[in-house]
Amino acid sequence: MSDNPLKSAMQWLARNPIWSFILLIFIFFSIANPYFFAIQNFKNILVQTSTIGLIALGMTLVMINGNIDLSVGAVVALAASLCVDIQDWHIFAGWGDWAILPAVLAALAAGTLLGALNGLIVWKTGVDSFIVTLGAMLGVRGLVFVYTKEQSFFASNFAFSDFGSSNIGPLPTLAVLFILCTIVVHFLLSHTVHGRNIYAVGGNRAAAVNAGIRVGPHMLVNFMIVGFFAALAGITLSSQMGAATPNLGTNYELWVITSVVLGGTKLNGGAGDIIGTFGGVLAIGILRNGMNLMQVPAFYVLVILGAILIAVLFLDKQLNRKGKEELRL
Amino acid sequence: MIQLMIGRKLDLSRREQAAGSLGEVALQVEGLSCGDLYQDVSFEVREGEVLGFYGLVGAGRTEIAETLFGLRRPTAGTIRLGAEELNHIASPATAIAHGISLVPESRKEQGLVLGMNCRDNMTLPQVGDLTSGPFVSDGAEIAIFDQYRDTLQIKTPSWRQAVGNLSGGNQQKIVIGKWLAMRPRILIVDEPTRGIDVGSKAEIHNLIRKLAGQGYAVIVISSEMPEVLHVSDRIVAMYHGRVMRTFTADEVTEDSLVAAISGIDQGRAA
Repeated sequence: MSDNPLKSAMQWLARNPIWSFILLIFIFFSIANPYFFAIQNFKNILVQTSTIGLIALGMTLVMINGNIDLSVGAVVALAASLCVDIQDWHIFAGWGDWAILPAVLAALAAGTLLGALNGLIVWKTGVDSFIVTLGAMLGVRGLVFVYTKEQSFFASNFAFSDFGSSNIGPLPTLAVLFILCTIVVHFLLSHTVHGRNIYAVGGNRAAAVNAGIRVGPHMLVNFMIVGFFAALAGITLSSQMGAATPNLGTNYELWVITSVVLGGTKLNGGAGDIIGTFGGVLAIGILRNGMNLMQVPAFYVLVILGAILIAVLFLDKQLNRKGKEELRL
Repeated sequence: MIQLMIGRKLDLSRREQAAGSLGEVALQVEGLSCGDLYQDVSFEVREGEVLGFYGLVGAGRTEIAETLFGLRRPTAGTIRLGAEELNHIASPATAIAHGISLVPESRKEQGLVLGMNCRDNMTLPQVGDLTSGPFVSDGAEIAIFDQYRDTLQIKTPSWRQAVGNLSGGNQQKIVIGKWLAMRPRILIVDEPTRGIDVGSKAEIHNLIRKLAGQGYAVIVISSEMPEVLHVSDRIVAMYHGRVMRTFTADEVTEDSLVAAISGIDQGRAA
């Protein structure tokens, strides 16, 4: 009996290899670099992770649904530009710090609306979400350049950038925000009707339709959620810098998808969870931070991350094989 | 000649006739057409009655079921549900709201989410009603699963088992349980015993008879003649998208049924 908890823990790790992987790289960097194992650095990792992490929460829903959203990076840039620009508009001149509120709301609304547009096109045309959001990725990035006239914006109100570097108790505000959102989305996915339907639609769309689920509106909601989180990530990112550039968020869609897939979500849909995604973004965050501290050149970091993604997925496939007798196709 | 084609003798192990106990008309379809798929289909089903649809694959039977369940738009005709007359049923959600349930032809492709556990599959159409506050109520779901596991004698180690790991017969019972749990007025079963073992087949046939006895209006679509003959009170024979003839259980013979569904009967039916 004594080996039972151990055995179930091992089984859990075999099903979720990402956590063993995190443990491994954590120990490695702790030994390899004297600056890694420090409370301040852990806070840094959480803050750095929060941007990709917030988007990954929404992306997990969309990907379990069997869809994908490639436009999130461009939405990050649009939301950041809107948020930093609007708070300096003349009509809000007398509002003081309250000018930040309409700016944040406008940015969130823009992200949610673009998500709704993606979802609406996927629903009404039936075109694959990969193609629709690929178009949106190009189009929205273009919009950002039109809107900003290729200029960067700087927030003149320091309250905005103070928020990005503030703390709640011992933890950075942005890390707290990310963890709260993670908990909310986790319960949304695992304990609500909408969450159940996400798995059903991704697992077997025909069966979901047969069970009376209105698949189109359902997918629309998930695209709105990922759009909202991309905009939120844009706002937090610009508040860290007190500025927004039109190139912000480039390649973020790739980082996000890598994290989500590392966390065990299947590209075909129907499987995945938020705890896995949290592990996935954490793994990417630790790797980037650790290699950064060890002064690995940025381009090598990309090479290593790419190799690790493939290796982890290969390992996952091996661990979850149904034995050697499984049919090989 | 036709007996030679079938290659076996008529074996009617017919259940005792439950005539006289029929309720009111649950569903009446008139002049229903859908492009080239089927034309001018009319029939009615009463509560407590099993209506069989027999024909060759491609005769338009599944398409009629899909139309009644809101998956296809008819091009002509009316559907009368109780007192309500409709030109079409907009979506499966609408059909479910009107008390229609469809156990689809292919349980793996249309009926089940194979990676999902037994309980979640069974409660999928009604999970929206099983909430406490914002969250799904585990207890209510397990109660429904336990009830239909016992009624249908579904063999599974626990509700946590992924449906993909069950046998074909048990999978089909999950689909049937899913729709019985919705307490429909009209239950449509499309090829209910395709690809399942002999024991489960007999169980499902008995279940269909029992459901009719409880007052459900049941439509059974099947390509297996013994099945149609065994469970149906009346049989609609279809050929090339048209209803050739409607038999009552007393007058039907294998010969006349085969003649009807292969179009030999065409002259007489018209």
